[in-house]
Amino acid sequence: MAAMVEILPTGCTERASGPLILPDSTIVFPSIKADGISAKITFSRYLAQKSVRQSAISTLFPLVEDGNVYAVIQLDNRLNQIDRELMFHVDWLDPEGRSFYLKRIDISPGDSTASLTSSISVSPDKRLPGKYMMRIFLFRELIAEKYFELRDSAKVEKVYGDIVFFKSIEKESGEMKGVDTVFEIKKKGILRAQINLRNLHIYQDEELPVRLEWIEPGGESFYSKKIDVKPADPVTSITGSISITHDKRGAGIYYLRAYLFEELVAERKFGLKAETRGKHSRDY
Amino acid sequence: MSQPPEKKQRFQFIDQFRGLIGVLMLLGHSSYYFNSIWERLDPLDPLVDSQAQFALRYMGYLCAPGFLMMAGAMVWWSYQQRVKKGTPDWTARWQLIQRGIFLVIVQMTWVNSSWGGFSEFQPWHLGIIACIGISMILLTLIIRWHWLLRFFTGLAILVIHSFLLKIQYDPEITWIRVLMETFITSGDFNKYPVLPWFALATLGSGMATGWLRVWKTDRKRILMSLGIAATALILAVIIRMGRGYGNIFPFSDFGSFSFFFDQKYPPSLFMNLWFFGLVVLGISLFIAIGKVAPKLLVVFSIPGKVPLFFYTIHLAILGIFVKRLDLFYREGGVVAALIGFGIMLVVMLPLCWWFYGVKSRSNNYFIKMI
Repeated sequence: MAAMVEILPTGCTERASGPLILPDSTIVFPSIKADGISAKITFSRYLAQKSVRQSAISTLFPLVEDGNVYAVIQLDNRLNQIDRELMFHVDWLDPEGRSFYLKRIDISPGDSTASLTSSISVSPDKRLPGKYMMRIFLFRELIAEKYFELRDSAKVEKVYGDIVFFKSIEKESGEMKGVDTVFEIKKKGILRAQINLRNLHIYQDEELPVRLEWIEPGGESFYSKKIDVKPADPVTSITGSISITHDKRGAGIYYLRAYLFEELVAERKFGLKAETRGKHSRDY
Repeated sequence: MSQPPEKKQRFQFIDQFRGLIGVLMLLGHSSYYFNSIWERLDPLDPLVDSQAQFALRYMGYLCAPGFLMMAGAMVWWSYQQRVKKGTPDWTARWQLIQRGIFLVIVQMTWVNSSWGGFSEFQPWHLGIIACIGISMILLTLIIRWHWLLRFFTGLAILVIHSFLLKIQYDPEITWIRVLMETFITSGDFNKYPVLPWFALATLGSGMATGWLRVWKTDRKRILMSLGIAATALILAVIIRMGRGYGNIFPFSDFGSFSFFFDQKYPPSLFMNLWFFGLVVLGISLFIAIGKVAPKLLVVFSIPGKVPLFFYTIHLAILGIFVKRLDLFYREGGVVAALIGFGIMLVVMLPLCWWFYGVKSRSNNYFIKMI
């Protein structure tokens, strides 16, 4: 009987028995056909539904209220089989190996869809911390699988940053001049800020969209700037600047906030005051 | 001077094939209890992660068609034997109907509860045993029909069932759901709807006419069975390759996992014809092996003579020891399932041998029913 179990189906499978592990840790069971479909799985915290663009790509996610983990399955060689119906199953497994969400996705002939998406809630009232897995099946055969981990939010490294305000930069040395948190409004005044972001490497995105918001004393944003940064370095520095002239700014307490995926990762306030001579600024 | 009681005539190949089906069912159940794939396997939409898991699951697919066809064959044979001994027509039928009712009661009492080791009483659920019982009851109503008429009635039901599967209904309305799942489709209340399985029982009764009466020699039985099996298998492949009527799930290529894995709950027309063909093929192989190497099949005769006992007791043992007492419950994989299967065989074969002796000597109504 044991021999039958091993021998009987060898002619039925369309997948090689030995899996391959891709650099992104997707475990792939390659097709035995050269033009067979294969899949690569990418997890992320955010997904733009229209463009199917993922943000906050990782394999480690915090358990957060209203949070989700999105999976995008890129299908290679998909167009080689555009003329036929395809049946996929996406199966999410909990740390005990139990399926908690199974989704069947049929692709009709002629449909050029080359990626599949699926998502689960990672709200603490629905999931426990642990190692989870997502598996993708094509016509009931496992073609790829990938692990990801859910942790309590407090135990997940976060991106954070600090902000330094300054007046100008020394061209030769690159040194910041006039570092302070209170600045005088001047005729040709410019306030610069350097934002040093740490832990960006927890994400595997090629670029991360950081948004700088300059907030006026009334609490409204008066200037917003989006900067795409590469997450490879331990500390990534970006700069921003605003004009602090009489016609544009008034005296008061302002804020600069840096957001990553709509999450506040750095904030610092600064003051602007009318131009005076011979007085030192007060640190906020 | 009274005549000694006539020894019950048994057809070894029927007992042996039924034994094989029972053994395969034990294999499937061992997998259910020991194999961790069942933590994620949805039997209504099965996904497999290895060839061995596919084989383990697919072997079990032969069981229900095999049991139903053998049940149909035995209903026809039992009726013929009873009438031959002088039992009035409706008395013979009533005896078979009683057995059908007994099976439904066994399902609702023993079988349903045994899955969980009798931790709770769950009567409101049907399954394969109840399906066999109801099919037996229905079959007694047409048991006097000519075998060809029975055969084509079975085929006609299979053809019509594929259309009935398209009936839309609201599963929230309990009585409609119960009605649909009892007869046509599958769900939590019943995975084995009566119509398609009754059709297979009817086909089995038709085949029994050939196996047990019309075809007088083993050579004839083998050749006719091979011809019918080949026809059914070819027809099944044609329907599957058509990818339309008679299919439930799509598939990739001929011979792939998905080609064979069409829906079992409820069975598609492809699945019914495919497994009808395989059962008939299996019977012809068993007749052939029985001629050249009969000792090879002796092991299957034991559970095959007391299939209900084999089914109900092995399920209870697995339910109590593995599920309820949590002995390796779904902790392993294919190997664990095979080891569990081996141990259960060692336990069950002597038990079946013992019970067959008890049953042969007993005149107790209930013992005779088991």
